[in-house]
Amino acid sequence: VSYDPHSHMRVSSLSANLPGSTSGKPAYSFHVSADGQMQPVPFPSDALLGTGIPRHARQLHTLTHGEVVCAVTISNSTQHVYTGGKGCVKVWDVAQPGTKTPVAQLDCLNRDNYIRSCKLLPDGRSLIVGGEASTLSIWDLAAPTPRIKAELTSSAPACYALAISPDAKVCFSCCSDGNIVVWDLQNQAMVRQFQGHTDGASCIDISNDGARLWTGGLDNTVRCWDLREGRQLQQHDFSSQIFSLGHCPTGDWLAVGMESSTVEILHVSKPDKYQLHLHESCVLSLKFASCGRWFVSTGKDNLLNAWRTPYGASIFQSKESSSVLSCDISTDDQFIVTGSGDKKATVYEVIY
Amino acid sequence: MAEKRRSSPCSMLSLKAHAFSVEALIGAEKQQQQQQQQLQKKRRKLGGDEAATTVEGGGSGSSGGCEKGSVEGAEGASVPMPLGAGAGAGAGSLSARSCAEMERTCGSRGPAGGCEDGFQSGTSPAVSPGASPKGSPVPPPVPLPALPQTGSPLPSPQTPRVDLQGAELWKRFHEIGTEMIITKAGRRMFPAMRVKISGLDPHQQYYIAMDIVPVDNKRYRYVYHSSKWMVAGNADSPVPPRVYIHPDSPASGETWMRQVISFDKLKLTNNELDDQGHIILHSMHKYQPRVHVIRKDCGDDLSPVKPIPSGEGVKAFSFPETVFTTVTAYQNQQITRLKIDRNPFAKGFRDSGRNRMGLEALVESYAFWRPSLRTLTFEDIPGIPKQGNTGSSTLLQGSGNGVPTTHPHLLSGSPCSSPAFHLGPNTSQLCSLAPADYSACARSGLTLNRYSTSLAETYNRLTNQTSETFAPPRTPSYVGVTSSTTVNMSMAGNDGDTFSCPQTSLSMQISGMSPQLQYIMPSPSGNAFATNQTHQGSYNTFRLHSPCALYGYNFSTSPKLAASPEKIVSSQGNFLGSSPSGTMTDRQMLPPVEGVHLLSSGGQQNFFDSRTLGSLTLSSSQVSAHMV
Repeated sequence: VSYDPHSHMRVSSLSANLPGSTSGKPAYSFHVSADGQMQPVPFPSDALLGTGIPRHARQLHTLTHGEVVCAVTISNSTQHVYTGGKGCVKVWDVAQPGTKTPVAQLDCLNRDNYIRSCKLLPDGRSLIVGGEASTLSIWDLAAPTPRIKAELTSSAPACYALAISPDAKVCFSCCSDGNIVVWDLQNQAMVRQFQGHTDGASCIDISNDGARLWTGGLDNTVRCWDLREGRQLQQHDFSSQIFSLGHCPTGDWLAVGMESSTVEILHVSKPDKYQLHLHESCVLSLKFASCGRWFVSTGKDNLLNAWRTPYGASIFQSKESSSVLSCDISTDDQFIVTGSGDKKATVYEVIY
Repeated sequence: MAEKRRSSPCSMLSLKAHAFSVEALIGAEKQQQQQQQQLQKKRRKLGGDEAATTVEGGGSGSSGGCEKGSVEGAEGASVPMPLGAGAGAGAGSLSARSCAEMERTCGSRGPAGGCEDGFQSGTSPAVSPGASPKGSPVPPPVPLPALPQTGSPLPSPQTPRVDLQGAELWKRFHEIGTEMIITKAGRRMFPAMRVKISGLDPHQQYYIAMDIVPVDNKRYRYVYHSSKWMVAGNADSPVPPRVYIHPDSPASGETWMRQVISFDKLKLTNNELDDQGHIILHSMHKYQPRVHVIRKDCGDDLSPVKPIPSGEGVKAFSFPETVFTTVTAYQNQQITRLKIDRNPFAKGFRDSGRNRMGLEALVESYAFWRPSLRTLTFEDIPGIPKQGNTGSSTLLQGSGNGVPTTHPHLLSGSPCSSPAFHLGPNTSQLCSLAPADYSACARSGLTLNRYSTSLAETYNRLTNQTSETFAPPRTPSYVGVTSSTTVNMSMAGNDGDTFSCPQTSLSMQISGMSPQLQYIMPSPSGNAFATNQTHQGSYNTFRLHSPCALYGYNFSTSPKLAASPEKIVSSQGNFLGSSPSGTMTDRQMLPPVEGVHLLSSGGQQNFFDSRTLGSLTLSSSQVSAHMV
C-alpha cells in the first residue's frame, strides 16, 4: 500500500514540462481535458523565448507605505503608483529615482479599514477607491491636490474589487455580500446589481470585447455576466475559493487564482483548461500584461510568478518578504507593481 | 503601542469572508494582536518592575517588530509569538536576531504532547531575554515565572494547537488502564481519537495524520489477583511503521479548523504482514497515539507505510491520557464494563438499567442459560418454530410465543437483528450494533448455527453449571431460585441449526428464576453473587442476553477461547470437559463454588467488545479462532 499524496502531480521527477530542460521543477502545468484527464503540458519552444516575453524582472523601487498594501495600481504614464493601505491611498512618483515619500495621500476610509481596490480611469485623471466600507470614493487627480469628486454608497459593508469599463462610463464593484454593483460614473448612480454569488465576490475583470464581466467569489464559483442583458451567462464551480482572476486582453483565456494555491487558465468557451501548481499558498492577485502573452500571479507564499499564456510556462519567479496581496502591470508592460503584507509596495522593471 | 483590535466590517460575515480578510491574507490572525495585549498585561502582573518595564519596552518595540515579523511569517506554521515570547526556543540569543528569525525559531519548535506545554515552556524562558529586535539592552536574566497554564493566553494563531475531544472519557479509561483490542483483521479504537485543531493558517494546506508509538520497550501481562499490569519482559521486535493519514487530507487549515477531526476509522492489527494499511502493534504492549499536523510542502514523504517525516512543517501532538495497552481480549473487567457502557456500538451488551426483578427480568436474562434443572437441549425448547437459516425478519415474526413488541431494532431489519437477541418486552436494548461493524452479524447467527452444537452444549453446560450452583440456596441472592423452577422454555423444537431461535421465546417463558442468577457468571471476586448484584448488574445481565455476549461468554469460559495463554485458568479445562457430549448430564459438574470461581475468572477474561464479536463471525475459521 503505497500512498503518494502528490501522485496526481508527479508524473515524473524530471521536469516534464520544459523540453530538454533541466530546471529540476517537477511538472507544474497540466492540461485538463473536458473529461477531467490531466496531462502535463509539453511547452512549445517559444514558451520563454518569444517576442514580448520577459526574461526576468528587476526591483526598482520599494515604496514604504507603512501599512499592508492591499491595492496597487500604476498610471498609464508609468509615472505614478498608487498604493492602498489602511484608510488611505498614497501616491508615489516613480519616475524619480530614489523616491522615498509619497507625493500625496488620499484619505478615503476610516483609519482602521483597509482599502481593497483602487483603479484609475483610462484617462488617468480619476481614481476610484473601494475597500472595507460601504462607499466608493472617486478622486479627482487632476486638481492641484487630489480631492474627492464623488462618493458612491452601496448597501454592502465592503467592496473587494473594482473594474472600470473601457469607455470609462461604468464602474463595477464586487461586494462582500456577493453582489456586483454596476455604477454609472457620470450620473453617479447605481445602474443594476448582478446577483448570484452566494458569498463575497472577490475579483472581477471585463472581457476583451467589453461585453462580458467575469467575477470570482468566495463561494467557489466563477461567473460570467452579460453586460448588455444583465444576466449570468456561465458559471464554473471549483473546489476552493476564488481570490483573483483576470481576463486575457488578447485572447479567450481567463486566469483564476484560488485559495488552494492553484492557478487555472480557463478558456471562455471551451471546456478544457490548464492547471498551474507553482504557488504554495493562496493566489491573492493576478494580472495580464497588455499584450496578453503573459501574466503574473502573486501569492500568500510571498511569490510573484510570471507565466506564459495560456499553458503557464513559468517565465520568472520573484520571492518577496511577505504575502503579496496585489499587483498591477503598466499598460506598456514595462513595470510590475506589487503590494506586500510587509507594508510596502515594490516596483519591478521588466527585463526583456 | 498596543494596537487596537481592528474590527473589520467584513468580520460580521461568513467564515469564508473572514478568510478573505486582510489579516488572513497576510497570515496574521486578529487574535494575535489581542494576545499581545493579554500577554502584555500578564507580564506586567507577573514580573517585577524591571522585568515589566523591560517587557513593555521590549514589548512595544517588539510588538511593532513582531507584527512585522508576523507578517513575514507567511509560511505555513511559522509562528509570530506575541511580544518577547517570540524568542521561543531561541531564547538567549535573541537580541541579535531579527524578528523574522525569531518567528522561524518559534515555528520550528514543534510542540509535542499538546500545544500548551510547548507554548508554556516557550514563553517563560522567552520572556526574560525578551529581546527587542531593535537591540535595546538585554533585560536581566531573571526569568519571569511561568505563566499559569489556565490563565495563559492562547498560543499564537500560527502555532497549531490540538485539543483532545472526549478527554473526560479518555481519562476515565486511563484511570483504569486503557486497553485496546487488536485483531488480525484490524479493530477500531474506542474511544477513538478525536481532536480539534486551532492555530492553523487557514489558507495553508495541511495533512493530518496519526501514528502510534511505543511508550516503552516492555511487554506486559495483567495479573488478575492484584488487578494490575506488570512487566513481563522486554518488548517484541519493532513493528513495521504505519501511519494513518486522515482521509480528508490534504485540506486547508480553514477546513481542518472548522470541524472535529476524527480518527475513528483507524484500525489496529497484530498482523505484521497486514496489507490493509492498518496500524500494526504488538499485543500486551503499551502505546501512545500521536496526531501530526504536516504542512503540505513537507508532506512529500508522507506515506502510510513509512514513519512520519520530520521537519519544520511537521508538528506532533500527543495526550498522555490516551496511552493504552494492546490486548486481544480485555483483561480488566472494569475496562470491559466501561467500554460497553460508553461505546454506542456495544449497546447490545447493556441493560436499560432498570431493576431487574421479577419473572420477566429473569426470563430475559437467564432463560437461555438456565431453562430448568433438567437436561435441556434445543429440541426441548417449545414454541419456537423450526426454521432454517432464514433472515432475521422471518425469525422475528416466527417468535410467536407471545413475544410481544419486538425491538424496534429488530423490526427495522438491521443486519444484526437476529431475533435470537430479542429479549421480550422488557428488553430495552438489543444488540444494536452498527451496520458498519456488524454487517456480518446477521450471518453470525447463521454461522454460529454450524457451531451450535458445540456452542449449545457449552451453553447448556454453562446453564446447568449455574443451575447447579444455584441449587443450594446459600445466599440471599438465590432466593427465588429453586430447583423446582419450572422453566417452561416453551421453545420451539428446533435443532441446532436454529441456534438463534430459541432465545426468543425463551426469554418469555422462564419463571421462578431469580434475577440474581444472572450475576453469577462473571465476577472476579469470590463473592460473586452479592457484589454483582448491586453494580454492573446490567452489564452482566446483558451479556447474557445478546447473542454476542452469549458467544463472548461462551468463549470466556472455554480455555481455548482465551486469547492469551496467561488467562487460562487451568481448572477451566476440567470444567468444560474435553469434548461436547450429547447432553448436559454427561458432563462432569464441578461443585458450585468452584464453578462460580471458574465462571468468574473466565468471565473476566474475554469480554470482547461487540466489535470483537461482530468481527468474529465472518468466517468459520475466525469463529473457531475465538471459540477454541
